[in-house]
Amino acid sequence: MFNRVSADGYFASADGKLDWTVPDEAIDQAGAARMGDFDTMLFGRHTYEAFESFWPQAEGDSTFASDPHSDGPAYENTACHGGLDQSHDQVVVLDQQDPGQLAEFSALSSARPGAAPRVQRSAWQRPDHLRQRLARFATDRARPDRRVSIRRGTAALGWRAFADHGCFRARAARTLGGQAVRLRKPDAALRAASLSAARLDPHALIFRRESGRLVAALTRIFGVHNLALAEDVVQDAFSRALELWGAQGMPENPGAWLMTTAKNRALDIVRRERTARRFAPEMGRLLETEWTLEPLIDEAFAAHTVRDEQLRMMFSCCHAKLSEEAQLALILNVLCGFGAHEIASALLASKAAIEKRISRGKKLLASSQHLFELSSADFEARSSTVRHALYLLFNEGYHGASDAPVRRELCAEALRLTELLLEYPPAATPATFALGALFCLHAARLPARLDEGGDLSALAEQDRSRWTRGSRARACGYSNAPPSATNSRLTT
Amino acid sequence: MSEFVYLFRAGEAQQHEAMGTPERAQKSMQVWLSWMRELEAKGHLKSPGQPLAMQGKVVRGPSCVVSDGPYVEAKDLVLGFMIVEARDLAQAAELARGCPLAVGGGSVEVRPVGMSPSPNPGQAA
Repeated sequence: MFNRVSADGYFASADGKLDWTVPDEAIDQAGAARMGDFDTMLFGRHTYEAFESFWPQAEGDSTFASDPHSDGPAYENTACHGGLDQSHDQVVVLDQQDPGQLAEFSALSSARPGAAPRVQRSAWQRPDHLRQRLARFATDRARPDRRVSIRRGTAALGWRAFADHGCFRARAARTLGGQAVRLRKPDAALRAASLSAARLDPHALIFRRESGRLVAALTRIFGVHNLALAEDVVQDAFSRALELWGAQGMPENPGAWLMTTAKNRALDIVRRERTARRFAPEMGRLLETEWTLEPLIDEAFAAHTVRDEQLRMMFSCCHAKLSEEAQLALILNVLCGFGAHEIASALLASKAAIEKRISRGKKLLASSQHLFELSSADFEARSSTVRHALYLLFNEGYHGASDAPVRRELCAEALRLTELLLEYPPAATPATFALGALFCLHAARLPARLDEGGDLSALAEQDRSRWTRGSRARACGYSNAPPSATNSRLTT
Repeated sequence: MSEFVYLFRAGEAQQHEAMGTPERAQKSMQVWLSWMRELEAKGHLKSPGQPLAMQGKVVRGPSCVVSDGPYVEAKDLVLGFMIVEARDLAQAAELARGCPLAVGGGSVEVRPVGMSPSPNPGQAA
């Protein structure tokens, strides 16, 4: 029943099923019933401000106290607590005033990993990544000194307002004289960096684009238990490229250059180590002989094989034994060439935690010996996990991270991997087409999602001329694609 | 099951036909790969053997004269070898019929691995 709501008004349920922001009485009621368990909700400053037009109508018996340092408006049933997050203990004290009555709707505790999770009581606060996602929306992590809480009796209504958020924003805009409600104001330098990331380093972009493909091809030869070796070869090819391209300039087709280098390196390695090392069991004894070694490597790097191997890798990364966070981290690392640091900043986690997730995930992959078989009976079930992971990946980009309101590259990767799925007929189901259509529609809006100031802009206020037509057209293509994506199974 | 050696032979013309251009070479290699895959999948591949390079030396005669090889005058050069397992010579020969080299104008010589002294040991001219 828990929903993630984006600033410009669409939502998906916690299990990744997709929906548009249609006010739903049943969801409202279920949410309100759940929220009846609490009489205090703790919000971040910006959520509070975003609901500005709602608070005057809020009913309840709570009092409102203005934060002495706050410039926020005061209402009858809300209270501001300054500096709550500066000491997590204050949240605990607040909780102890009415044990079990406090629902946290912010990043207060997640911002402090060491703090005792005293206030994480309610079911809807789990799992952690959902809380974080909401937190990201609800609070301004760049300015953690500004928090407010809304007390007593307003919780159920608060939920309602949240569920109705898409409509709410239009109201809020009217209330505020047509001015956009600003949800986040990232530091100017970071913002500039995120906006220009795409132009920053062409090498990094090529690496990202090619690394997943090369690792997949090499893994076919080396076997998934030698994933680290495959990654080394790719790193090696890339560092050679950097040396050479630095002196001679980039070749016309850098992707092909990297592929040839990786192929040659793979040939060397297999020739040198074929007696000492066990390579992919699928290759049988054909790597042992020059009759077939080169053809096998050529085959592994052929376009359709690379695609299938990437799919197998993607499906393997979505192993049931891995948490969603670990699946995302692994996909970003193995298939998208993101480093632990980039993933950490994208997924709002520490670098150490991401490294741990990745290495645990890779251990699991290695121990499985084989990548996921696309012909396996589990294909359908695993596809749904894969779509879920891709959806989360897109969401991560769409909602941005602490240092950037939008991370386009994550959206682009999610879209790229979805297109990869669509190229493979058994995976091109209505649900996958719908996912692709959804991504394209949202991606079309990405350019307009930030206003000139770099702040998130609500759907109603977006400059529609900046929407990308091509992406929209592609979305329409997907949603009309056979089998029809308007099939009612879509939202199940 | 007994072991048989495949000796692959082809003349220059056939080699050129099969490998003369990169496209033809790639096509030939793919066909070759799938033939070997099938042999292995059916459990006939005892040892995948190796192809042989075209340059070499020939040692010949009572005084062991070393001359440059290969046999430029020979119509059939040995291109390589492979060892398969089959029930009998007939089956080994049957398996070789799928070999793209034979189809392409070369030949596959199928010889049982000699377990007992052959009638004409080691006296090849």
